[in-house]
Amino acid sequence: MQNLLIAILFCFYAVNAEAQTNDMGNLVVIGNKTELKSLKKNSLINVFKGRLNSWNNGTVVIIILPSQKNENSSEVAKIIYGTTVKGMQKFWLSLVFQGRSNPPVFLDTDEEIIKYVQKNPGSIGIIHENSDFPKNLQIEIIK
Amino acid sequence: MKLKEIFLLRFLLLSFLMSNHQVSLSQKIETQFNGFGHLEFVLDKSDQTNAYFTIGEHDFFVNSQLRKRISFLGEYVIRFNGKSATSFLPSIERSLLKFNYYKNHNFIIGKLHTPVNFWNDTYHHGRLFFPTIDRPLAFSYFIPLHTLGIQSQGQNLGKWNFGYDLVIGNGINSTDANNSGVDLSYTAAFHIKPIENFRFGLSYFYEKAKNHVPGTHSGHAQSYPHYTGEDYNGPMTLQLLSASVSYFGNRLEFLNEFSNNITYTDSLGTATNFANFSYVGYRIKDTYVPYVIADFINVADNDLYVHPFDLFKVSLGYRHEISHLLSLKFQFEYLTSLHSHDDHTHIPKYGFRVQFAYGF
Repeated sequence: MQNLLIAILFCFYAVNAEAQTNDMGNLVVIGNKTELKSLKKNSLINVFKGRLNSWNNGTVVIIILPSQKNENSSEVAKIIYGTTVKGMQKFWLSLVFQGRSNPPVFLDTDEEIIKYVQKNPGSIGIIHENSDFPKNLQIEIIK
Repeated sequence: MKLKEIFLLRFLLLSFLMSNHQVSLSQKIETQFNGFGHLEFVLDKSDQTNAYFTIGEHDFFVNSQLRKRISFLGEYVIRFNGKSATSFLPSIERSLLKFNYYKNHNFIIGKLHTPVNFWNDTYHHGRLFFPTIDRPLAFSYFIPLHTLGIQSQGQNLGKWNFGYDLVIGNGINSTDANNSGVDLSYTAAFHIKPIENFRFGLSYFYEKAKNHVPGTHSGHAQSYPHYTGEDYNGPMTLQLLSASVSYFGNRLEFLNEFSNNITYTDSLGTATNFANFSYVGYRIKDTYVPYVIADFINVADNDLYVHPFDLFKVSLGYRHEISHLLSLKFQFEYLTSLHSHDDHTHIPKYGFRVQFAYGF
């Protein structure tokens, strides 16, 4: 009985621990001069869906996305856009065509994304957590 | 010249050159070009049967970031025109400068698609984005497609993603190059997106034209095929109330466009016209979308803008999204008129259409 209780508590903890995570899988978010240390997942989705033109400090938002060649593209499309890479590309093609947002920058590798973010204030990108990147760029994603 | 003045002049010149140098280093213009086009096969049967292939609109799109907060958008279309020696003519469909002056608020100047409803504000001339083969019926009659003027726009504001579009521009009499008199049009549109993929919008369009020209706004002046009489060219007041409800989720797709067009002329008074377009689609495995359409338009007997008629269309279609740049659509359609007083020579009509829509 005691073991069962511990098992249930462990399961609850595990489920709860999962719920406490940011649902970002193996991905991390990096940004430059966004003045953000952390960002809620919903807000992150809004940013990556082109719903924010500028950060609170007035810097223009530049969205960096993995291109189809980037091995993170499927995970980003699923976690942020709830769709496939094709769906993510069509979403942006349509949004830019509507004149509702500036086009994002699609890059092939995490190294390119990191370099681009470092060089461009206001830019925000998503890379794999194992990538070698300056930790001061990381934006923590919270539930 | 005194030494002090020479020094000042050199200082100013140097400052100017340095600032120019900084601009040229830091201002990298980001420009994106896209093209969209479509090819179709049409088979229709009314009092006669027609079958043919057709080249649709070819749309060249450019988006350029001129400054951090200023961008340019252009959409140029080449389409069939029987008056041209080569059967095709180009037109400027959108050409605008957008200034993002504060957060999600923009000021726009140029030629734009009048933001009266979801369709006109979303799909423009890109058949690749159309959920169906063609536009709602009302777009060929009383929707003011374009406006050349100024626009104040806000989007994704607050918890409900509120958006507004306020437009003042040339009226229906104008060409894109000139106009006689002062006949401006006014548009106010508002929408909310309280939940993901859902949008609800309302709009009001007003114009008091001194001399009415038949057509659906600048660049699209035309006489309507159902009317063979003399066009009315006197003064007319046009109003359009529109309501759009759309939901484009991962599976279910839904769009309803309602339009109430009110025209006023001194001779026949107020005429009230209606149109409603409904679309429902269901996405299977991200790629296959069967859909149905019901589209209706009714123009009052005393209307001098479009002239009296009505049309009802039902369609059953299928869209295959091969990639984000290529789609194939099949559509069976049936058009009929509910009243017998109209001058429709080819109604009722059965049709079958296949469309390849592509982007590059």
